[in-house]
Amino acid sequence: MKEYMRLEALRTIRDPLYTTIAIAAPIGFYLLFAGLFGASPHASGTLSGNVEIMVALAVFGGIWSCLVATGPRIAFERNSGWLKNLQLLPISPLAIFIGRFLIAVIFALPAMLLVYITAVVVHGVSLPANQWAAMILLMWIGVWPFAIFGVILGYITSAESSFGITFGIYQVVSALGGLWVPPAILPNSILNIGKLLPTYQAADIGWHIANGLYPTWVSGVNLLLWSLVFLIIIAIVAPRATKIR
Amino acid sequence: MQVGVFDVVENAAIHRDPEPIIAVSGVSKTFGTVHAVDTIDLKIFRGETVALLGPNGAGKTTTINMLLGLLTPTTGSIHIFRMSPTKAIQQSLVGAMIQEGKMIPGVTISEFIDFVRSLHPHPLPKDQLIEIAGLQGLLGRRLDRLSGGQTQRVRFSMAIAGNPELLLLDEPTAAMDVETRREFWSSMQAYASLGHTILFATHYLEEAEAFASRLVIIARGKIVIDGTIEFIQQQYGEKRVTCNVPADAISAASQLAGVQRYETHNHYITLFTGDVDATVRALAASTIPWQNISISGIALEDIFLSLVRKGESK
Repeated sequence: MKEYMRLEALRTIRDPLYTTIAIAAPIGFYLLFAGLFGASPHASGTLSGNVEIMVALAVFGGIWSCLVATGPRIAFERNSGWLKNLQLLPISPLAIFIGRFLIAVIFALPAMLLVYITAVVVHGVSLPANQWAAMILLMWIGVWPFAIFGVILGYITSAESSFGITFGIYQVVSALGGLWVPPAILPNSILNIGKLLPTYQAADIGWHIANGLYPTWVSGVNLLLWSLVFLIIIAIVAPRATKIR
Repeated sequence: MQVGVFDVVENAAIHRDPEPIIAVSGVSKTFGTVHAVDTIDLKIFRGETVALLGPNGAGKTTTINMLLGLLTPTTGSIHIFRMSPTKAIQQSLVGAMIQEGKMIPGVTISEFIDFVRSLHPHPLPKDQLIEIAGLQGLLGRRLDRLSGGQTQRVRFSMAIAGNPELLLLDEPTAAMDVETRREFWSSMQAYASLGHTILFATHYLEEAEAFASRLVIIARGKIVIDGTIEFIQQQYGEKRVTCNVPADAISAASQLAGVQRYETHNHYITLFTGDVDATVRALAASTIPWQNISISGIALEDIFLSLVRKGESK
């Protein structure tokens, strides 16, 4: 599995969909939005814009890392026949799944860290060390469900449509989850839907920690349930997707 | 080169293990109403180089895919090294090239070879693997930027990386030009000469004839014949005796023992005989002033075509 992960890591580093959308885009958006909204909070009792947007865009970047290493890539490999060739080698499908998942989440970490670093360097964001540590770790874990979700997309989309579908879903759940527009500004009707989404809950972990609060159990349960649902869907669609005709 | 290869094959065939490496018993595969493979029985023994020969759509790929565990037979059983195909692959006993499939994009040939070798307990040394597969000078190339022939060589390297006992190759020279094809077969022979067992599917009779010690001819999902080239020629072929005779001797020559029919061309007569020994003895004992005699088997191609036609008309 280690060698399979090495192979996937090499591909991810060379994948422009990773380097541009997961690494460069969140930093660019952070500079843009934090520059626009500045340090003032959007509503009373909320975080400063610098910090709130930092959390949102770290999640935004981390999620894309998870999705791009799974969805479009698996769809392409199913179509190209690489997955079939992989079945001719002594490596188990489970090892492939786990290896792929680990690479997706490992590469999410630098994407998220770079947003924090940009916030610190450019906007002088500062938090106590224990809050940084908790945020970096827990928000990272918070985006993991998307690596599982990406596998589903890889199994149910075609090579041609996969990128568009993955990117579209990514944008919609990010917007609804308050990663584009601060939740305080979102209408309640949308926010109520957004709060059900793992995008919002992953970011909410960070917003709580940055406020000096403990993350809520709602976030933990929400992300865990989504992960379980995703895993069950994979168990259903995987046999059909990997079968050859 | 060929002599060495076939020595190994012949010796192995003589000292056959009683236990076949591949044991296919009563296997059929149906897709909807189509019988892609219809009740096939096949045993392949250690050291054999076997060609699975048939026209397009005969069921070769379906058969290979079942032997690799990529497809499950509708009925019947397949054992490879007395285990399931998937298990044999997991134990590095089988290497394979399938027709379908690009290799993984974004990595170089060298990185890919490292990956494949790392999966096997006893891989071929990297240098040897590169040499056998003919990948020298291509190591830094990305797998998504290769020509069709180069991709086939990478596939071949993937198949042999684990130094497997058994190689299963589905149309390995498809997409290759003549030169690449020649290089490929010399690579393959180098590998076969290490004593490995090889089954390859092809629709090129010349390839089957040149590189296999045994032919399994398949048409419409059924095996129509299975044996060595000599066996098939004896079973189905008349021998040809060709010599130069004067025009007034043609009639006498055509009535020699064993002769079934004849053709004449310029000053030559070709006798088609069911018993070549009897025909030649009779010719030698006769008063016919023959010259420039040659004896040949009926072209395998004619046998192949007639067997396939017979198989398809069923």
